[in-house]
Amino acid sequence: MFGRINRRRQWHELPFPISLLNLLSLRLDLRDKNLFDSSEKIQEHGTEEPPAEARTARTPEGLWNDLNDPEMGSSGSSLSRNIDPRRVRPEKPPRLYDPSPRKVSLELMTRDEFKPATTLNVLAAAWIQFENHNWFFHGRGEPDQVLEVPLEPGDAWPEGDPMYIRRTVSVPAHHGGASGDRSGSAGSSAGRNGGGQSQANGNGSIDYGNTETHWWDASQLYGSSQERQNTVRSFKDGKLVLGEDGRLPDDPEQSGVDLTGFNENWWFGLSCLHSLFAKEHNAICDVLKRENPRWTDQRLFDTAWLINSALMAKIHTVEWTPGIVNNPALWAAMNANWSGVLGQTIKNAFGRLGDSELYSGIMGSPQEHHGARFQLTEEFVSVYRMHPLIPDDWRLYSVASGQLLDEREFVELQGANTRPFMDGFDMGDLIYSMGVEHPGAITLHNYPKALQEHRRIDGELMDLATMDIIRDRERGVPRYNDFREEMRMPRVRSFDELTPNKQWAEQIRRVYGNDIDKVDLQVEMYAEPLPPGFGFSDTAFRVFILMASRRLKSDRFFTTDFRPEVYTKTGIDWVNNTKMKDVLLRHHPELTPALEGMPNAFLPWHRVGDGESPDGKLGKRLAGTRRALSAIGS
Amino acid sequence: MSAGGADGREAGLPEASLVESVGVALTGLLPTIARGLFAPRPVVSRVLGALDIDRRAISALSSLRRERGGEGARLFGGRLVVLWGTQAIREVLDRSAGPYAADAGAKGKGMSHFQPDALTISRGAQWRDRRVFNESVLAASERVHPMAERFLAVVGEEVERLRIGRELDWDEWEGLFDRVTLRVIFGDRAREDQKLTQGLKDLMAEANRLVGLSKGGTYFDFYGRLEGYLIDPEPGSLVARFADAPQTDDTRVAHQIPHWIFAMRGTLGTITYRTLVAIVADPDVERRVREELADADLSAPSALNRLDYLEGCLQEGMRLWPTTPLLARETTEEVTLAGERIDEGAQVVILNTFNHRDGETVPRADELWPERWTGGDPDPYRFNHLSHGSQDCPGGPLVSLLGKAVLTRVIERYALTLLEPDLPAGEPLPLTLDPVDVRLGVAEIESTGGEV
Repeated sequence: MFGRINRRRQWHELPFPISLLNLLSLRLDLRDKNLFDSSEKIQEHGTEEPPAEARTARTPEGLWNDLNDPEMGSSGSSLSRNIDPRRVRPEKPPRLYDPSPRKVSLELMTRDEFKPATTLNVLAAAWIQFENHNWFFHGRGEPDQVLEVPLEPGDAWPEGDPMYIRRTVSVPAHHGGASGDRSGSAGSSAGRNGGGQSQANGNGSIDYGNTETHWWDASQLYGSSQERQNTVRSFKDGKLVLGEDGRLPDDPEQSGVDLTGFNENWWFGLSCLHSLFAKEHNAICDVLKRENPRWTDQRLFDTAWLINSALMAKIHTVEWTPGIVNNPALWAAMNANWSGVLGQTIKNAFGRLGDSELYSGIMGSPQEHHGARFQLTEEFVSVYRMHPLIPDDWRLYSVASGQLLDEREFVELQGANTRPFMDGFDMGDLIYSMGVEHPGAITLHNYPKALQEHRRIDGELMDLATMDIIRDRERGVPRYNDFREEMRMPRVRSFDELTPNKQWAEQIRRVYGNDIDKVDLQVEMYAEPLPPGFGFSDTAFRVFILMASRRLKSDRFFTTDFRPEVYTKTGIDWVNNTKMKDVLLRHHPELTPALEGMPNAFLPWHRVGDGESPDGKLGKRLAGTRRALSAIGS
Repeated sequence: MSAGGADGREAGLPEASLVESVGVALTGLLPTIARGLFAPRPVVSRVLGALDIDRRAISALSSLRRERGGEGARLFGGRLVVLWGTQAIREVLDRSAGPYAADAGAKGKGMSHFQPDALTISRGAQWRDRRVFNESVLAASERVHPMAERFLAVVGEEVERLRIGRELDWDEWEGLFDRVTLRVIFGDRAREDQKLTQGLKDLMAEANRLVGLSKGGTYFDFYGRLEGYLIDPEPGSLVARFADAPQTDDTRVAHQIPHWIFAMRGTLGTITYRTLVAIVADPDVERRVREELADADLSAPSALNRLDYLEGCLQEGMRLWPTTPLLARETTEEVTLAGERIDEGAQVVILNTFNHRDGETVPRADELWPERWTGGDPDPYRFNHLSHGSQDCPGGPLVSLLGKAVLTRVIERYALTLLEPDLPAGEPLPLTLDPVDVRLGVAEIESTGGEV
């Protein structure tokens, strides 16, 4: 019904109730046409009897979530596609380097001045990386399997021409099915995966394995393998290991970084969130233990894990997303995802009104894969490269006084420096500092300089902006125009149509040699005119609306088994009644003045002390957003 | 300040009465908009032609000048200034794109619809930036364009390929210029891309409206198509010169091209056609043109520059029927013009249709008199068909080269007879000459050599 309209106007150009209908119909369309198995079909009938414990608990490897298709979504299973695999074309030289991804990085991405995303706080930036680490990782590759990116004359890259970038090697993808090689799946202990060739499918494209479980199961906290999970558990009262100081332990294999489920690309923001949700897990354990004194450590752990991961999924759906995509239709759609268009209040009072996900939300509706096995996709990975969110310069404040305590550059508070840096601060102050400061806007010329010349903890020097570009090309994520076509959006015809910013249009034209069809997805997602209130592009959003609901709808523990018999009544209530702000205040009551009255913890917090708070126009806009979010609230 | 002249008339810019102001506006200014600023509206033109509106404009301005004198007149209390004195015109055109902006009013609004970043509607630093680029690609300061040899070959081939029966009509001529334009700007591969030129025509026709314009599919289709030719530009085309032309992110190179397309295809096509008609209408002139061609060795592009008489004909074609009937500028600050203080935001108009045909200042104003141009511009800043000063046409030399090339090839190849309209030699040439009203009889001349 919206097909004809959308040829002329995109959903966000329509008035509110219609834009919401358009959104919901878009999702149905995309579900229909943009879910592809990379190889095997869904196994409709089980061949093995599920182990009893898997019926009521997640497994570290993500096995048995679907009781008929036990390997679906497990760690090591392949990432699939949102575009027809028959049209996937991994790029090879010379096209792989045309134009040079390093040129794209330097000429289009380099941050000239920090452009803040003024409607968000840095916690929102940390959050999305935290979640990405839950969802996917391609592995670290192999030092001797590299791509050679040619440099332009005069490039000051310290290691000279060409720039070596590890190509995606990944873990061997297994495709599920009961005979799948489970032992090959992800020793997800970060950076320690055995390398191996990924499997080429019949079309020259490659299915890469995901080292993490595909499920929204908080594997960044709990690991994607039994071995990894064992290292983070205390094996007492179901709890995770946490020091007296409320910190996670140091990783013995890479000191300076916390030991947790997934600890790649470490910095203090991740450490704060991992610690926070480890504390939340333990708090859940305390209550469960009080109510069920005879439960074993394993049962306490499993149940707290279910509750904690559902809580994180909820925060992402009804808080983070409406924060970064500040649009009434989207707020309504996200709440509808979670609790249905009738809202949480009605659901609480009357329970589910039938199986329909529209009326009562996805939570508790029947598990459903919409015709394709649940796997995250390469396109999904691609649209979540949001590195411009990271600031280069960091100011650290005291939450007690509001005083500026220190100023640091990003390099000083990441990698092996993370824990030593954090030793000098209270965690409450660090979280507060993220709460009041803005992340970078996801636009061109706003890529953190620190990440354009970033030395990894293992010594490898990399330009992440170059890598963001080449990863898409290498993995056959189409360039922008082809991508749009796959996502049912009209192709853009001229550089003027790409972006209303004329200078950017010129720069992109020059870098891409006038060829509109060569423009990379990443570049255009940073340059595209954003729908009102959006923190990222409408193109990225297409993948997002498809996959966001799918992460819920395909997961047995958010659907069929989101029920008191599995979660406990306490658990269901915990998920329904907790927001990010509650988690923060439970473990850091000192943040109270900064969070007073905030409906959404990812909007800029009040600054304490000098009374400095968002004022003027921005203040009014934020106040409006807050009101709207409160009205919708869950 | 306005000083009284010795004969009681004022110098400077005397104020016109409301009745006079309305008279000038109705006859000289509004008809220009009504005829279509960017694409001709044939029916309107026909009606206005029947009303002899241009003659009325000339007489309105002549009588105003007789009454008041001066370099021009202030209309409607100074909100509108019409200039006829070359001193004042020089003051304006030399400071064009600065205090006298060309991007205001109907021109700016309309052109923004199809070339929002074109040189001609730019100002300040952006204007300078784009000017340098245009001058470089069009080789504005060189008498012979570095690519002239190929351009002449293109013209030769296209004239050769004309399929004319016993009459040459405007459609045929327009097609000729369409193909020459596409090949000169984009290369041979663009020869048949009438979608591109039609896209621009459509946009320009929309721009005539001036209101309710928004960028849509036609705009992006057009620019997308155009940008396609910038990928691996064809050697020998104007776009191949882009790589070496000075440019920045402000230049907006693709946006400079539409102006070349319509100037070369529509404007130059019209000019050469009218010039051809005027030459053929006067046996004496035609004989002298053919003699000049017979005496010239036209194998080298530089030879075209020595065709002074033909050059004079082309200039006369532009003077008699200026394709830009008026130049409009808006003051971006308070200025002193012809000694008078003019407010910011005033419209300053140079009415070519009057200045070029004003019998009191232009000798033999209604005749094709090529000798007028022997030795260069006879009256600088009087004839502004290619403008003058800072914003003069950077494509002027190229226009002249291509115009003469086409005329040369056609005249060499064909014996021509003007069937319609009737333009008896010695009679004043009409103020309007609509190409679609023209019928030219043609017969191929057997041997080249110019035997007539």
